[in-house]
Amino acid sequence: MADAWKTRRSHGRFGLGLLLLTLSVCVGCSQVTVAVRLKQAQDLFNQASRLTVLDENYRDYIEEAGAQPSRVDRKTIPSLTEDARAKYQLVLDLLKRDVLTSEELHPELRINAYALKAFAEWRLKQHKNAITTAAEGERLCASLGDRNPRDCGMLMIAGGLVVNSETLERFEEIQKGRQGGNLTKEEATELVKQFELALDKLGELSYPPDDPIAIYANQQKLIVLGNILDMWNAYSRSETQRERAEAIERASRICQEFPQDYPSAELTKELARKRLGLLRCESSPESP
Amino acid sequence: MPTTIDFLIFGMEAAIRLGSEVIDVYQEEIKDRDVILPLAESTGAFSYDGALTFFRKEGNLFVEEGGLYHGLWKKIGSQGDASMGVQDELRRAAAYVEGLLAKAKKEHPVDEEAFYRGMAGYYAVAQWKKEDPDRPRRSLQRIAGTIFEIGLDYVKTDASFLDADSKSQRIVRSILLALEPIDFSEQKADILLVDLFNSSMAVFHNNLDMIIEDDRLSLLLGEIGETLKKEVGAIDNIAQLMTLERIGRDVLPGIVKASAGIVLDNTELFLGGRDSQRKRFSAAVLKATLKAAKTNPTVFSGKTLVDIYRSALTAVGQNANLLLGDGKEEQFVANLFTSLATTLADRNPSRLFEMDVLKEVIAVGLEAASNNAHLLVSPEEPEEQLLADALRRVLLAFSDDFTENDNFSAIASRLFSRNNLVQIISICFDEVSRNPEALLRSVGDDDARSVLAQVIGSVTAAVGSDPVLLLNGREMTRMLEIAFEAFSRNPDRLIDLTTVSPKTNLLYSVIADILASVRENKERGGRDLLTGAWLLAALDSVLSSVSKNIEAFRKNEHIVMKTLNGLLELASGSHADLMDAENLVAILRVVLRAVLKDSSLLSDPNRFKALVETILSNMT
Repeated sequence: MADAWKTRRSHGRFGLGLLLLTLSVCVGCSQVTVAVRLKQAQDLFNQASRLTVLDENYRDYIEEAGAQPSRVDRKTIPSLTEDARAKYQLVLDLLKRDVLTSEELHPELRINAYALKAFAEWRLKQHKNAITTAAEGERLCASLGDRNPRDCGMLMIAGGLVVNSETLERFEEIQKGRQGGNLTKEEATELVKQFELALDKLGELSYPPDDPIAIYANQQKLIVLGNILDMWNAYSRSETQRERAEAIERASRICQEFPQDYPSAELTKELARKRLGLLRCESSPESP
Repeated sequence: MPTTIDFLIFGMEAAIRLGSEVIDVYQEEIKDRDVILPLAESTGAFSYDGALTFFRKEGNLFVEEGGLYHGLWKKIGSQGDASMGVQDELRRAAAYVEGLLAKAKKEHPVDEEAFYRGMAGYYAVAQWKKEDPDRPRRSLQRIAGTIFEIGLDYVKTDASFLDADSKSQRIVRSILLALEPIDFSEQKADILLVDLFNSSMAVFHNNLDMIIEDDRLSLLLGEIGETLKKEVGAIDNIAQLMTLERIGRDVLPGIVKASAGIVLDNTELFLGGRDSQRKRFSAAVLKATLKAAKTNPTVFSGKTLVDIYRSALTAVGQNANLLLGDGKEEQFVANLFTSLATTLADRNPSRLFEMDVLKEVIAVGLEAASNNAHLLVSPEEPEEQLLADALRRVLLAFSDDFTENDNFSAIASRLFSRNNLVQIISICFDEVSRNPEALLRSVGDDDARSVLAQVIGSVTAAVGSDPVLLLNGREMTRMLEIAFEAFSRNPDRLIDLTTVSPKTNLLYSVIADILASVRENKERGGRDLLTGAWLLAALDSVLSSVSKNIEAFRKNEHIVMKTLNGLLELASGSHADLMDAENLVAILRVVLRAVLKDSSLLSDPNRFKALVETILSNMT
C-alpha cells in the first residue's frame, strides 16, 4: 500500500515539479501552484483524520488494557493524539499561508479550503476560529451555488460539532471535580440542553439523506445522542428512563433515514451499537 | 465540444501553453477528491448504554461468575444505576473485551490496517452523490488531473511527445480511448484506472517499436479494463477494494505486458469477432488470476500471478477448447488456479516440487483440461477439480513415506530436473484427463489407495530401491508413461488397492525385478547391454508379457528376474558374440512368455539355452 502511494506521490512530485517549472512563464501557473498546495493540505488532513479516528476508537481499549495484567502492544497509541494534532496544525499553516491568501485560488477550491480549515480548527479546539471560518465559507457557498455540496455541508455542520465538543469539555471538567460521583439533575439537564443545541445545528443540513455529507451528519447525530444518554446515566439511570427511551427512539428514527446501500453502513452499525446499545440500525424500506 | 481525452492530449502536448480547460479539469479533480472526516467527540468508544448491552450479549462471559469483570458488574444496580466512576470503568472494559474478542479472531485492534479493514472506521466523504447530475460522470474525467501529471513526466523524457501525429501521441490517444468507456461504480476505484494508464504507458510508450494497431490496442486494454470494472462492481467493502488496489498495482504492469505479447500476437484468436470464444476465455483467465490473488494473497505473489497469467493465456491460445458456456470457464479456471496452488503449497510432503513450478503446472493443467474437457470438467460443477485430486496423489507418490524409503526425497532431487518434474505432472494430468474415473478411483477416499498414486508409486518405489540409479530423470519419466500404458492394457491386475504400500503391486515387482537383474549383472561384471532406451524397451516388453499371464507370474516368485538373469548371463558369456541389446529385448519377450507357460525351463539351463538359440536362429 505504502509503495503505491509512494509511486503515485513520486509521479505527482515529478510531474508537478516539471509543471511548476514550466508554468513559471504561463498564465495559469499560480492557479495550478495554489491547487497543488491545497492538494497537499487535503492529504495531510486525511492522514490526521485517520489518526484521530484510530485514537478515539482505541483510547479506552488501551487504557483498560494498561490496567490488565496482559499488556497489549502500546507502542503506536500514545503518540496518535499528538501526531494527529501536529498534522491538523500543518493543514492550518498550509491553508493560511499558501492557499487562502492567494488571489488565484479558484472560488470552488476556496470553499474546499474553508471546509478543511474549519474542521482542522475544530479538532485543534480552536472553537471560535472554527465558527468564524465556517461562517466565511458559508457566505461563499451562498454566492456560488451548489458546486461544492460536500464542502458546503461540512461548513454547515461544523457549528454543531463544535458545540458538541465544548459540551463534552464542560462535562469532563465537572467529572474531574466529582471524583467518580454523579451529576446533579440540574447539571445533567443543562449539559443535555447543550447537546440538543449541537443536534439542532447538525440538523440544519437539509440535504437529501442519501447525500454523502448528510449520511456523515446523521452518523454524528448518533454519536451526540449517545452523549446525551451518558449525561442521563451520569445523573441517574432509573430516574431518567423516559428521557433515555426518547433519545433511543430518536436514534432509531435517524437509523431509518440512512439509505439502503452506502459505503459506510458498517460504521453506522458500529456507532449505533457502541454509542446507543442499539443492536439494529436499519434503513426503512422507503429510504432512498 | 472537446472530450476529456482532447483536454488531456492537449495538456500534455503543450504544457507550457496550458489552456484554461486543462487547468479547470485539474482543479476540479482536486476539489472533488474524497476527504476523510473525523467523528464527533464522545464520552468514549462505548457509551454506558452500549457497554451494558455489550456485556449482556457477546461479552456476557466476562461478567458472569468467575469472569474478569464480574466484580465490576456486581456494583451495578438492577436497573443499571451506577456511579460515574463505575460507568467509566464499564465503558473501558467493553472496549477492552471487544478488542480481545477481535484479537481472538485475528483482527488485532491495535493494528491500524486491521482496524480500518475490520470496521471501516473512517468515512471518506465524497463531494457528490453518485447520481448527482453535476458530478463528473466518468472515471476518466475524475482522474484527468492525475493522468495529466503522469503525462508530463513523459513530456520531459520524450520530446516527440509534443509533436502532433507522433507515434507517442497516437499511443497515448489509443490508451485513453480504451480507458474512456471504463467507468467504475466506486469513485475510490478510479486509482485502478490510473494504474492501468501507468502500466500501459510503461509498456507501450517505452516500446514504440512494437507494432500495434490502434484499434487492437484499444480492444486489448478495454478487455482488461472491463474485467477490472466487473471486479470493482462486485466489491462490497473497503477491505476488498484495498486488496484489489494492491493486486492492481502488483500485477497490472505484468498483465498488460504479457497481454501485449500474447494477445496482440493472436488478435484474431483473442480479440476476433464479438462472439469470439477465446476473447471470453482471455477475460476468464484474467478474472481467475485476480480471484486467485484475492483469495490466496500469501500464496500468489505479484510475480507468480503474472507468470501464471502468461502461462495460462499461452495455454489458452494453443488449446482453447475448454468452453463450458455461461461464464463457467472463469469459475473453472479460478478454481484450477487456487486448488493447484494450495495443493502444491500444503500437500507436498517431500517439498520436491517447489512453488515456482506452479505456473507450468497450471499451464499443463489447462492444456490437459482443454484436450479432454468433456471428461474432466462438469459444466454443472465447474468447481470440481479432478486435476487437483490428481496432483495430490502425484505429490504423495513422491514422498519418503509412500515409497517406504527415508532417502527417496534426496534421491529424487538428484534424479529429476525441474523440467522432468513438470513433465511427470503433465503426463499424469494427461492420463487422468483421458481416464479420470479409472485413475482417480480410490478405496475409502484414501489418496494412498488410489490407482494413480499406486501406478506412480510402483515406479518411484522401484527406482528408489535402485542404489545405482540405472535410469536418469528423463528415462524415469518415460518409464512412467510405459507404466500407464501397461495399466491401461490390463487395468485391474497390475495394481493392488487392498494395501497402502505400492510394493505389493505386480507393476512394482516387475520393475524392481528388472532393475535388480540389470544391476546384479553389472556387479558381476557382465555386459552393460540394458541401459537407457533398451532398458525401457525391456521393461515395456516384460510388462506386455506378464500382463498376458498374471497368474504364472504370481506363482513363480521373481520369475522375471530369473529369466533376465539367465539371458544376461548368456549375453555376457557364451553368446556374447550373438547377442546385443536389440535382440536381447526381442528374445526376452519370447523367452519370458515361454517361461511363464513352463517355469521348469528356468531350472534346466540346457533347455533354456536351447530355447534362446532356437530364437536366435529364427531371427537370423
